[in-house]
Amino acid sequence: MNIPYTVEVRPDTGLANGKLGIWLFLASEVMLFGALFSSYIILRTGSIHWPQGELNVWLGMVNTFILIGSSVTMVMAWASLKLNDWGKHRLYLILTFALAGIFLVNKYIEYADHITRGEYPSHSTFVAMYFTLTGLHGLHILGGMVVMAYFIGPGKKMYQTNREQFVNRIEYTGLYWHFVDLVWIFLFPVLYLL
Amino acid sequence: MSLRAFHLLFIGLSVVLAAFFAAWAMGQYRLEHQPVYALTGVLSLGAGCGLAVYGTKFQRKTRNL
Repeated sequence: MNIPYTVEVRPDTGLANGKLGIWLFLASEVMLFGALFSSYIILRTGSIHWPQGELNVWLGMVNTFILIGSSVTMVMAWASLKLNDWGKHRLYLILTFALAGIFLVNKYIEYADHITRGEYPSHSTFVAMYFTLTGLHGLHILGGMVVMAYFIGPGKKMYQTNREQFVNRIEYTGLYWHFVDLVWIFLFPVLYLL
Repeated sequence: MSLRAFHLLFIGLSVVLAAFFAAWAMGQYRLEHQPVYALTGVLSLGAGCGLAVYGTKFQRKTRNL
């Protein structure tokens, strides 16, 4: 069966179906994280005392640089494909995957530190919000890694059979990845610095 | 919005975050007088400048993508 508008632009939306789909999905994600950020603001402004300096700023800073770096490698993976450089595309995609893995290892170290200090989500409202926001973000990182692993592994065959559609799929993966990175750009100052 | 445009927006926001982080680190230095904060502030400002340069170059080089 031939699915239309996977590569060519639909005349009514001005977009290929995949791009419209990923933006609709990201819009739902904005609502999800927006609701959680709003909850955080309401809880924080409504509390008499709010803990500060409880989180490891240095680890958070390292993770911020890792995610900024991964957004660069992700866009390079897509740009390399546009320039028909398969080798560079593979290298950049694997690098992005590795950076995502390092981010999660750092997050594990951070979580382990909190848990050894007895700071479970039930410890305080702040810790509960911290685990909820960063945990959900971490799950999104994991989701992105699953997609990247697919394109590094079994999904790469599409490059031979339908090159343009493969390039589009990498672009949609990149859009998702940038969104996940963007969420962290807001999470880091809100949780770690302010 | 294309990945290229989204990437440029992301880099722009990263520059803002780097500037904010530099200001935070300098604020901490004023409070605690620990050189590590001053160094972090300077490095963060440098990273912000680096990202701005990268963003400009990326915008120029990928115009035809």
